[in-house]
Amino acid sequence: MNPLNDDELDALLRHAKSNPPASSPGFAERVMRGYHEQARHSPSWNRLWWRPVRIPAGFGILAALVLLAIGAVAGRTLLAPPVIAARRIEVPVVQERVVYRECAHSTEPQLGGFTFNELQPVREIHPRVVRSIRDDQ
Amino acid sequence: MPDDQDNRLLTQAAAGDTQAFRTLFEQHSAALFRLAYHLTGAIDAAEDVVQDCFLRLVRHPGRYDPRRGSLRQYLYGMVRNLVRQRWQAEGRLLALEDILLDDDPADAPLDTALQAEVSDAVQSAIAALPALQREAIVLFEFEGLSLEEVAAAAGCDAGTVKSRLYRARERLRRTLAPYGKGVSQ
Repeated sequence: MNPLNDDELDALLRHAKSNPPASSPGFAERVMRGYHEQARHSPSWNRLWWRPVRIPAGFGILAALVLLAIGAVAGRTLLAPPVIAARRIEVPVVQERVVYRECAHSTEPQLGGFTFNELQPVREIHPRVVRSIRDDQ
Repeated sequence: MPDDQDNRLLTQAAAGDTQAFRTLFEQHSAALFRLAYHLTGAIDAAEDVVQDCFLRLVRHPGRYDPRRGSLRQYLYGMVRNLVRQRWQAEGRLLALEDILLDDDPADAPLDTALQAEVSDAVQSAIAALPALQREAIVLFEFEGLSLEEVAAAAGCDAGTVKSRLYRARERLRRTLAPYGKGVSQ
């Protein structure tokens, strides 16, 4: 038998399309019962999560603007360059312990109580010749 | 816009709005049932698939992403996946492509439908197609989807869909040859 041509096949498909299969009469009600059963057993937070709420348009726009402003501020804060501030901190270091020990030390007695503290530099020098070469000649 | 309306209805149905769910069901159930019926070949199985499809939809409404297509396309894809899950659960071997099937039309279920109505014969011939060709021709010919929409639902590119459609039509030409004159008259 020769295969169908395009027109014959299209006619058959159109014919089948015009006689679509029908579901059983109680199918819709069965699905609705399944929906109610599922809704009864689903957690309340899930229903609450997906429940739509009505808000005035002005309030919605205002809320959106506030959220945008908060987002902008938060973004600027996060993207701001870090500020380097110098401050003094205490750093523990290991210190050497100073130990005082008694030791014998001999001191020479000072002559006549003379000390170099009395020898201060003079402010002005006044040289005076007390003997001349001519005196020897 | 239908998409916006579908989104709103889906959100309301997920929140427990019975009327919204009923509206969604009335808008999409017939097309989904036709697809499920053509893929499974059985009314009971098709009804189970469609019911499961709608209950899953409202249980996980966030899985539908309107940016990726219409709700109808998403539901087509869900029906397709559910049918495949049923096949796998039943342990049926999936004859996905031509090479897995005997190409002899005499072995098709059409033999038992020779005395039946033409629409039944067409359904039998479609049921005898490999699964991927079957879903392509059902979505394209019966549901009126474009090549791109079929490709999106089937998860492949339009060229692959075109190839599957060609092979499906070739097979249907031979399988339905006895009915050609009857319909054209």
